[in-house]
Amino acid sequence: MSAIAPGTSAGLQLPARYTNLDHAKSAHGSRIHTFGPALMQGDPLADALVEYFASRPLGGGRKQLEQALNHGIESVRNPHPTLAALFAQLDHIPVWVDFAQLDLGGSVYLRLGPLGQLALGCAALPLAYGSPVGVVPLVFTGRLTQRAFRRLIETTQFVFMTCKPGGLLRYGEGFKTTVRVRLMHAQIRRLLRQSPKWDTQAWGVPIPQADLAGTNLSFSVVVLESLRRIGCSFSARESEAVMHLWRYSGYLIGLEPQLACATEAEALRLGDLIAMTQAPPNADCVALTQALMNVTMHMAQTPAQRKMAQQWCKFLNGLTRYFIGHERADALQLPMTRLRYALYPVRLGVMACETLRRLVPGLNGLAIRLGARAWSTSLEIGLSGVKATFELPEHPAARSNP
Amino acid sequence: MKPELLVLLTDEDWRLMTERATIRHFEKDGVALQEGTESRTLNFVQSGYLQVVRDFHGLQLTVARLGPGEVFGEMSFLERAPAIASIVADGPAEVLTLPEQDIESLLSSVPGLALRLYQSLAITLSHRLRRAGDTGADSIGSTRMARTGFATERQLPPGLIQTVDGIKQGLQQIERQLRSRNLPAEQAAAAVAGACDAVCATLERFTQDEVVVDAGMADLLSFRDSEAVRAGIGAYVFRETFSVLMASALVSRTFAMPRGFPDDWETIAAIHGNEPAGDGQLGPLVDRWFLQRPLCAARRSSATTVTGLLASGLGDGPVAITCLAAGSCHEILELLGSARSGKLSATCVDLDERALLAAAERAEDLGCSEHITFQLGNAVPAENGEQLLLPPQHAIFAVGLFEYLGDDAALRLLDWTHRQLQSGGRAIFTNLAAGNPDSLFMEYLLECKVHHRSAEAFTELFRRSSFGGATVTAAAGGADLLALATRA
Repeated sequence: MSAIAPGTSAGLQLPARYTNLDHAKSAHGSRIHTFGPALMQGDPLADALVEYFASRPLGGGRKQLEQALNHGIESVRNPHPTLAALFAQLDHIPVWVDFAQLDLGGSVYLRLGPLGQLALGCAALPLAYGSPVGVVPLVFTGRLTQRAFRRLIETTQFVFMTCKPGGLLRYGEGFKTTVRVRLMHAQIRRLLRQSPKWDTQAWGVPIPQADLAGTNLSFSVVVLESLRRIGCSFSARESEAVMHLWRYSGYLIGLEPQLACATEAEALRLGDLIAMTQAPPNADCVALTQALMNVTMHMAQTPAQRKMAQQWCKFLNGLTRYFIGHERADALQLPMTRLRYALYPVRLGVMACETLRRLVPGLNGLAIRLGARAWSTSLEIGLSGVKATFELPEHPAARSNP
Repeated sequence: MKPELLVLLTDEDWRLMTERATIRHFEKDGVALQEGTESRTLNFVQSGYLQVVRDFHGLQLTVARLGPGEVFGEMSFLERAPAIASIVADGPAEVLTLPEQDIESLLSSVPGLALRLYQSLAITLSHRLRRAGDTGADSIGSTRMARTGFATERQLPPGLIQTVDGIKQGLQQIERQLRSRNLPAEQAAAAVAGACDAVCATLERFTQDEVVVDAGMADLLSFRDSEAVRAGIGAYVFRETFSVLMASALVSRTFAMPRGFPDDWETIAAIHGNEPAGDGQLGPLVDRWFLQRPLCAARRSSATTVTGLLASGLGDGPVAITCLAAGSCHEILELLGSARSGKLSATCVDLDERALLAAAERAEDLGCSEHITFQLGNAVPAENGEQLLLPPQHAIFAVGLFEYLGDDAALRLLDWTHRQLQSGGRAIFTNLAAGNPDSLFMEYLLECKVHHRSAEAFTELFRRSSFGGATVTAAAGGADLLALATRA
C-alpha cells in the first residue's frame, strides 16, 4: 500500500491503477504528480469528433473523415466545428518537424526488415501487454487471445506505413492511417465509457494519454534498445531520427506534446516511470502474451509446418525473454527454452552484417530496399489479401520500462 | 361562487348576475342540458359534479366532467344553436342558470359588462379548446422506431447470423413437415415454441454488454455507439424473423399498434381470450407460444390480482372506482359480475373512443351499464395543468399504463390520483418489471420500447408523489410489479 495517495494532482481523482508511488517518487520526484493526470485524460479533439459522428447517419462520419483526409478540410462543405478543430491541429506542422529526419528515421526502421518485426513482436508488444489495465480493452471484447495474429499484422502495417518515405507527409498513407487509428482509439474510448463495466475509479479513462505515451515509446526507444541487444548499430543521427519520427507520429495520434519524447534519455526516463507505477501482469496479460508468442502455430497447416512452428515459438519466447528481461518474462510466464542460446550466433551474424553495411558503400541503400521488401512481403502474407482494418486497439496498453 | 374562468367580471357584475339567476338542484342522472336542444342560458356549477355526455350511435360516452366554478351552455348561447352534448348530474349538484333575456338586459344597462362577459366567455372557450387539443400524446402513444442505420454488416456478430439462420431453417422444416402432415400438432407446437424461445434467447445473448462492445469494435470507423449497435443487432433479428412472427395474429396486432400503442383494447381482449390464431401453418403455433409468454401471462395475472384487490374493498355502502387506460374495461366488468357490486359506481377512462364504445356495448349485454360511466379522455394530466375531474373515489387503478409513462408524467398521474381519492382511498397500479423476460422481444421485435421499472424505482416514484410511498410487490412471475398506495 502506497503512502502517497493517488489523486491530488490539480484536484483530479487519479485511478487505482497508478500504484507504487512511494517507490516511484524516490526515483522520479515530483514527476509522479505531473504524469498522474495523463491517466485521466483522453484525446479531447478526437473524442469530441467521434461524439459528433455518433449523431450522424451510418457512414456519414466516415465519409466526412475520408473527405478531409484525402482532399483537405477545405473540401468539406460546412465542416462541423469538431472536425475543423481536429484538422486544424493535424494540418498544423510543429516548428520542430524536419521531414528529412522523418524519412531517415523511417529508412532505419525499413532497413531492419524482419529484425524490426521481431522487435515489435518480441519487445514492444509483450511490454505493452504487461500492463493489466492496458489489456482491459481487449478483455472487454471477450476475444482476448483470438485475433492475436491479426493484431500483430495490423501493428506491423501501421509501422510500415509510418516509415515509408513521405509516410507522414500530409497526404501520405502513414499520416492517414495514424489519424484513422487516432479516431479508432477515440471510438474505443467512447464504447468502453458507455459500458457499465468500465471502472473509471480503478482504471482511469480508456486509452489515456499515459498509454498513448507508453505505446509511442514502444515504437521508438524500445525497438532501438532491443535491436542494439541483438547486434544492430545506429549512429547518433539515426537514433535521433527514429525518435523524431515517433515524436511526430505521437503528435498526429493525439499525444500531448509534454509526453512525446524528443530524445532517448527522455524516453527511457518516462518508460521507467510508467513501469514503476503500473501493477504487475495478471492472467489476462499472460494469456495475451502467450497468444502473441504462438501466432505462428495458427499459420501452420501440415504436421511438418507445425513442428517447425513449435521450434519457432520456442525461439520467439527466448528472444522475448532476452529483450524484456527475466523478471518481466517470468511475470508473463514465458518459458525458459534452450533455443534462447540460438540468439548468440544470431547476434554475431547481425553484428557482422551491420559492420559490412557500414563499411561497404551502397550496402546501406540495398539494406533499405531489401528490408522494405521484407516488410511488404510479410504484410502481404499476413494480411492474405484482406485489407487491414485496425479493428481493435493495436496498441492500447501502456508499455513497461525498455 | 364566481367561476374562475370569468376572471374579467367584477364582483359587482357577478352580484347583478346572480340576483337574476335561478338555482337548479339535480340528483344523480338529472339532466341539466339535453343534447340537441336550444337552451339559451348560461349555467354555472355551484356544487357537485356533472358529466358532459355525448351520444355515439346510441351509446353514451362521458367526454368531460364539470365541477364547481365551471360554466356550461355557453356555446349554445353564443351560437344560438342546439347543444352538442348533454349535461348530466353525477350526483347531487347545484347549478346557477341565467336566461338569455336577463343577460341581454344586464348587458344593455351595465356599462362595460358586455365586453367583460364576452371576453371571459372567449377565455373559457379557448381554455376548453386547448384541453381538447391535448391528447397526452407525449405521455402515451406510438413508440415505433426507425430500423436502419444502426450497425454495419461487419458489426453483426457471426455467431448471431449463424444462430438466426439455424432458427429460420428449423422453422422452415417444421412448416414443411406440417404441410406434408408428418408432424403431430402437439409436437409441432412444442418445436415452434422452442424456436421462438430461441429467438428470445438469441436477443438476450447478443445484446449483452460485452457482445455489443465487441461488435462495436468490429467496425470502429462506423462511429456507432453501443446503443446503436445493440439496436442494429435487434433490427437484424427483427428483419430475419419478421415473416414468421407476423403470422401470429396477436404478435402482428401488437406490432401494428393500431391505436398508437401496442396493447390497445382489442389486443388486451385477445390476451384475455387466450385463443391462438394466425395465418398459415406456423401462425397459430407462434400465437399460442406468444400467449403463454410472461408478457401475456402478466397481463392476465395482474388483471386477476387487481380485480381481487378491488373486490376485497367492496362493502355494503356505495363505492366509486375509476379505471384509467381502461381499454376493454376487463377488470371493471369482471368486478361488476361479482356478488357484492350492487352499490359500485365505476368510471372507465380511456383515450380510445372505440374501446369505450365496445366496453359500453358489452356492459349493456351484461346488464351493468347503469353502474359505469365511460369517460373519453386522457388520464394523465397534461404538463400545462389540464386534467380530468372526478368525484372523490374509493379506488383508482390501472393495469398496463405506467410502463408507457416517463417519470414526470407518472408523477403527475400519481399526484392527480391522490387528489381524486377520498381519505383512505386506494391507488392500484402495475408496471412491467425490469426483469420482464420479454423486454427485449418487446423492444426489438414488437418495436415497443416501454419504461420497465425495478421495484425500487417504482417505489421511489410513489415516494416522490403525494402518496409518500407504496407497497410494491412482484407479480406475474416477476414480469410485472403491483403497487398499492393509500391516501392518508
